[in-house]
Amino acid sequence: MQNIIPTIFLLSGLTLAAGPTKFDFKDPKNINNVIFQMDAPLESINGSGDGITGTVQFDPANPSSTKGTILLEAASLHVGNPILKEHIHGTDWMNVKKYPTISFKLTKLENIRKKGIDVFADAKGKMTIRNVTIEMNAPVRITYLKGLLEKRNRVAGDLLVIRSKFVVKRDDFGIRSGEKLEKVANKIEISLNVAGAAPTN
Amino acid sequence: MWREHGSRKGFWETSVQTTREIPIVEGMPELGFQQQIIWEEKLVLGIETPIVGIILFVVSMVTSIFPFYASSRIPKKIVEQGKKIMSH
Repeated sequence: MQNIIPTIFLLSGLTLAAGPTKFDFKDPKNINNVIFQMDAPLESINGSGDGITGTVQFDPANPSSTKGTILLEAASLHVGNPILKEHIHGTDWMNVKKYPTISFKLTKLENIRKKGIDVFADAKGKMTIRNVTIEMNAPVRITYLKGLLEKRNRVAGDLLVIRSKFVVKRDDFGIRSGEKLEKVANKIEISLNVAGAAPTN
Repeated sequence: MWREHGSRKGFWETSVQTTREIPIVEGMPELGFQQQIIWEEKLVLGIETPIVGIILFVVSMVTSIFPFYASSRIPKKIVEQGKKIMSH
């Protein structure tokens, strides 16, 4: 009986410790980014956005329960041509003042395959651009690095790296649907490349 | 100049995207890399350069040829007008 009580406390503690870990994707090293590319007949536009925030809950024992939200500050979208950048930020296109955030709300992972330290899956979620939300599936590669946050950010904890390449159509989000297709492609190829941190207290 | 800057189909750019491969964890490249995007301020000429070049060429050709054309036409007009006056 004397041994049972401490064992119960120990087991309850383990139960509390298990479960998903919350990873914060605001990167103090400013490496996290989204790269986008649009290939129109007359012009190819490349750009990136680095204003990434958001949190994702990940449980290495149960990756299918992964959920969270990745946010991108629309004003952080950058292209090489300053006039084009002004147009992209403007009211006709992204309207960054009225719609300051682009978001992807991850609801679950499906079709999970483990390969080495990586987890490959299809992320199911909702993408919101210009206040228009649509259901989306995106292939993701997730790398969980236990205890390696210290080597990256000099803080004890875990790291979660999410990589994904997917396509969104500006038609779907009402971004000048069917207009200027010769200069600005309808398909926007997006490459997400982000690392989240879960410091241990 | 346009060819030197890469013969891009797009318009000019004032900043250029460079991608650096950064190890996710310093000193452990086996864990993979993250792409860091750095925008460097640099002028890169685009498709407007040959277009402006062609327009300037046409304008300069027209402005240089027109005086010769005009000078060859005006005396004939004067002669014709003179002939008309003489015939009256």
